[in-house]
Amino acid sequence: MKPDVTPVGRYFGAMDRALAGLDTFLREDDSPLYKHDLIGAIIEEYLARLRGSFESWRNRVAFAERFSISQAESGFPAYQNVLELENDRRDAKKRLVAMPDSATIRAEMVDFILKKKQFPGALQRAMAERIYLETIEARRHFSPLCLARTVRVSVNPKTKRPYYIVHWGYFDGVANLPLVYVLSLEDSSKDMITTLVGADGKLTRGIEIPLPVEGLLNPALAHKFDDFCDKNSSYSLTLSTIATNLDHDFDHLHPKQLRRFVLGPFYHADITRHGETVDQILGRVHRTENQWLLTWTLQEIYSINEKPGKWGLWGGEPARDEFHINTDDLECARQGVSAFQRHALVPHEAYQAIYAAGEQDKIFSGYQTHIISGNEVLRSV
Amino acid sequence: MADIKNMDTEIEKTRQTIEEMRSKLEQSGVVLEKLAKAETIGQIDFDIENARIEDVVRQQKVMEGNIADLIIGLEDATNVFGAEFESMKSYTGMEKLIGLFSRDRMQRMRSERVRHMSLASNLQELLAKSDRIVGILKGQKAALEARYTASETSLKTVIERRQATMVKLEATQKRIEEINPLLLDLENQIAASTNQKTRAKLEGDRSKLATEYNQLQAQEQEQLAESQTLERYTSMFQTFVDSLNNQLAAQQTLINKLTIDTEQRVVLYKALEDSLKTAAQQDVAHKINTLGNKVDTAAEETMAGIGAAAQKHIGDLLEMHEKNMLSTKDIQRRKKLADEQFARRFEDVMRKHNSANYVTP
Repeated sequence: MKPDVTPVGRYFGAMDRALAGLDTFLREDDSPLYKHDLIGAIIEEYLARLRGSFESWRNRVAFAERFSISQAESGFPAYQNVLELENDRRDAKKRLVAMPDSATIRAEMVDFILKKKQFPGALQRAMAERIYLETIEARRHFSPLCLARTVRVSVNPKTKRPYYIVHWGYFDGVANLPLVYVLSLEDSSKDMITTLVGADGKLTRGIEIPLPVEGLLNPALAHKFDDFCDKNSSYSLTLSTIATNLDHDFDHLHPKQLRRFVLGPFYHADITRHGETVDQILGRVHRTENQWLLTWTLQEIYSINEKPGKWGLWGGEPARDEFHINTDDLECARQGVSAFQRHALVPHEAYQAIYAAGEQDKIFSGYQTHIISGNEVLRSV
Repeated sequence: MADIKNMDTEIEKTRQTIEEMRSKLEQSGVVLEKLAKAETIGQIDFDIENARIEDVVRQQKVMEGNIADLIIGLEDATNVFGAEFESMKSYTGMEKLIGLFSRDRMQRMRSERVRHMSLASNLQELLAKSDRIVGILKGQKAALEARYTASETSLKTVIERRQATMVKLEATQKRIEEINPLLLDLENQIAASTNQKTRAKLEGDRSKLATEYNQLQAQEQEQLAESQTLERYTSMFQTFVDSLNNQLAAQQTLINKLTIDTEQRVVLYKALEDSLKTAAQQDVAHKINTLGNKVDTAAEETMAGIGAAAQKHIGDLLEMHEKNMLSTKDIQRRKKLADEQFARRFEDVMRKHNSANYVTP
């Protein structure tokens, strides 16, 4: 197939390459950040969802009248598109019934071409819409909220509480960025302790948990937990806020570590208007398919101490966690996190252009830079 | 919240009315096409048809009013958001009562309440509704466009036919004018002639000419009637085509307004919700972590900042179309234009709405 050279085609092409590049990066064995294979696996799942969304959007642009992309701060499609995708998904079946089937559309196209000797634009759009609706149900998308899933269960031998790892996704509507949350927490509900923790302080033998489990493992709290994710996941909330809120809303859940993976902003020479320097340099990259730069941020907060609960005659207080905010680092304090990492993924050619301009220190200061060349990630450049 | 969901029945009603209208429109259009192509021009159903077209045109106006109502109704329904925001900003009676004893406690109660609010499903609902209305409007617009092209061709045919009739009529009239003196001349000759034979011949000539004259006169009458009928057809068609044209513009206005409104609402409401939530709780959380400041001042500052920040955000969107892109830095301007156009075209509806809140979606 010929490469699509229209601006729209270039945008989607660049986004595809960036997501594929990130995927390659995550799959690498010696990936410096993701030695912890769990995070890599979790994020890969959401990358697949994002790719699904982009494929659907690509089909959608072929017939929709408008499609907006957030130019500043994000480079991802506007929130409205995410919502629309979700709505279309809901009533795809109904709309498909109302449309003529593809064979009919094809026959009509032939008729149209032969009769009117013109390009059948309207029919082509109808066809695009049909394909879009047909595929939208099968694909997995990055919804405004991807419901929580439990991926690991074990027992903390010190506290003798079950320990879960849960993750969920959220597309933030204000910053227009996809976010992935990974949470490690302990559960002190009596029911769960009796079912999951054996006398030896380990996971009860012979208990089968079909991981991943949809929702929080504790069925009594799963629904409330999803609701919590829906209402407390915006980008504008700091991790300390989210973790503290979680701790306060659920007396028996004890968040121990919360990570947030913020994908983006995405920079592209044609599309985004962030900083003049980046745009100008990317514009000078010779091959159009290399005119992009993808960044992401990984934030983390962890609990350093748990204040034990007190129960007395006149009420009491459940156990609460204290979270560490690294006040030595101003940026950490500002973000309300214990630690954070910034990463940038850049095609080799674009990196060369930036290096040649002598701007690499300015642009990549504070970032761990990963350079991608073909299907390889280059290191120690 | 319930308001937005209740709009479904309204939308369904409007959709049905539009469907009915469309079938009526098709009928009139088809009849007109038939008229344009008919061999003989009948007078019989002319008045009925004329009345029908007038009826269609009148009802179209009513229908457009309905849709405009629906759009304003959606606007009213979205006031829910306004109420939500208002409640997020202010304190409830209970909270104020508590506030008499402890300001901190009051703040905490509010932030707790705000934290558990979510507009996401409402936004989704709003988008779905607006998409449905736009879908109906676009369907209607496509139907109108098709009808418009067909009717315009018919109108052209009728006008051409009338011209042809006029040419014929003129030829007939010319011939009549020619024959008139000839006939007089013959009569004079007959009067002057004494020869029986010549007289008989002249009589024969005269009668032939007189027959032709009578025939031509009958023809003239017929052609005159045809031309007049065609003229009435033309004006009838003209009304129809004009009305179609008008409706097309009206549909476009409605579509524009709705799309821009929705686009802006999604961005603005989301931003506002987020900012309010963040402002209300971020500081409380920070306070717990002993980093924060007084909640009050921060919340107020954020509120003041929201307007500007959200607007800027809207300006940053990039529109993508099938093959090209367009930066829409000026959504504000587009919105203003769409609003103005809407107000101009649907002045009556707006006035009704402003005078009495009679729509209860």
